[in-house]
Amino acid sequence: MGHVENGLKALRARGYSFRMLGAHLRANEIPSAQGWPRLLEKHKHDPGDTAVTTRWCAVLSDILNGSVRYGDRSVSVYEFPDRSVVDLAALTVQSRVDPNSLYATAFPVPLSQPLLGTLSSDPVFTKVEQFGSGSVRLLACVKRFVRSREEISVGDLPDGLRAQFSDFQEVIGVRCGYVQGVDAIVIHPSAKRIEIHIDHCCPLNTDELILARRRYVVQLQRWLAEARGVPEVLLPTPRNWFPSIQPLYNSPDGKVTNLGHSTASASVKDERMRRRTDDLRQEPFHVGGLAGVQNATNLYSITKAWTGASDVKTSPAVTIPGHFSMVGSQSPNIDFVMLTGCDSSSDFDLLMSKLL
Amino acid sequence: MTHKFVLEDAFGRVSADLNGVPDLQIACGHILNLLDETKDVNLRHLTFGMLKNASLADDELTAQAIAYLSGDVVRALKMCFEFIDEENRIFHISPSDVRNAERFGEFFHPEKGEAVPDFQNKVYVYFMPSWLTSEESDC
Repeated sequence: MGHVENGLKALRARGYSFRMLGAHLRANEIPSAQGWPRLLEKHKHDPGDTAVTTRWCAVLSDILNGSVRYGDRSVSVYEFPDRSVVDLAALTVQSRVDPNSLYATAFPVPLSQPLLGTLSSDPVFTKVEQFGSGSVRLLACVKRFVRSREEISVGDLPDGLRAQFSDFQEVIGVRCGYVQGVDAIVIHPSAKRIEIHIDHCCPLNTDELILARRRYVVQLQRWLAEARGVPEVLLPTPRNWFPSIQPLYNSPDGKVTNLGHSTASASVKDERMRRRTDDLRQEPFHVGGLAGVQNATNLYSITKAWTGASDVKTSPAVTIPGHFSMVGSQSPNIDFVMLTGCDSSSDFDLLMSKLL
Repeated sequence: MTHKFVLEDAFGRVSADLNGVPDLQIACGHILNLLDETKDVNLRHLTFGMLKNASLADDELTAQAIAYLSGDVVRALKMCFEFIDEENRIFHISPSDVRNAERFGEFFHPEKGEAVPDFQNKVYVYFMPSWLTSEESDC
């Protein structure tokens, strides 16, 4: 197996966007193809020229490094009244990495399925990064379970089994496997803020996300308590993003691609544009509908996208994923946001600048 | 080509070329009237059903009218394709991707890069006037 093929397989294991990969390959004059199987076949052997192989591998390594830090994720933000706890957190996480773990030695390349299967599902702190601003990022690798449903062709089954399923029009199999996630605790002392990033390298429902996040909250609280020599330190309640939905809608920049709202005329709307490049706020039915209800509607969820700054045409997007029941609540709360379509720190920082 | 030019040309050709098939001529005329009388923003995703309602014709005649209006000679309509995956996400795909899928019997999810089983039932056709373009695909 060649080095380039290895790099591509690592991206495939992360579920990296094939569309974005294609754009990167074309931008860097690396041969591309339709679909993973054909792409891997094309790169089965490295180019004969070592310099070319090195260049291509460097491109793939950059993509992978960007993906593990800025790929699709939910972000929860904890804001502190003063920076003392945040400063302590930035200090205490420095010594929490296990550099000899299987995850750390392979990072950022994901471990193989068989190897992941032997590991516990506890996160393993793998890498700590420091920035000129004083911010610190602590990365954690974690095994996540995935289930996928596939149709099984009865015709392909051995004779005996085929007969048993002869009365069935469809046979569906459920395949269980693992994906390696890369979560992060990101600490910004100057902004008095701690973020917890949960990597959405595989589908995660809200309950799974909250459970994953809770492990980091509990761990960080324990470290802070140890560092302070006190029984307990509690993080503040994560920032509530529900109040940010209306300002995001009102701000004329970017494009609103999805909107959930509940009208005073007693309807619930989940509107979305077919194209990522279109803005719902200019769509005639939406505009006419709002005029028809005299703008008397309560927003409960939104997805808004902007054009990314990188060479590859990205559409980083923020989603505040509420439910229509929230508009009936006195204090609706959504304590995480989804950031998707980011390919680089500039994409990610762009989204955070729109939120904070 | 501008909206006005395309429509004038199309009306002219329908009038001249389809004299011998009055039902088809009328159906094409109705569809062209729809394109002429509707704002561009409301012509960006025309389904077969919408064109059938406009044509006041049955399925077969509507299909013939669409084929004629999107053919090489008239080019008033263009055919576009979208793939809808199991998570109800919509992806616009190019006519060349569709041709390749039909030719090789394989279609790859644009985002996941994996082969899509039963893709023929997940790719849908829609239409736009030829003078409109889409940022996302070569449609």
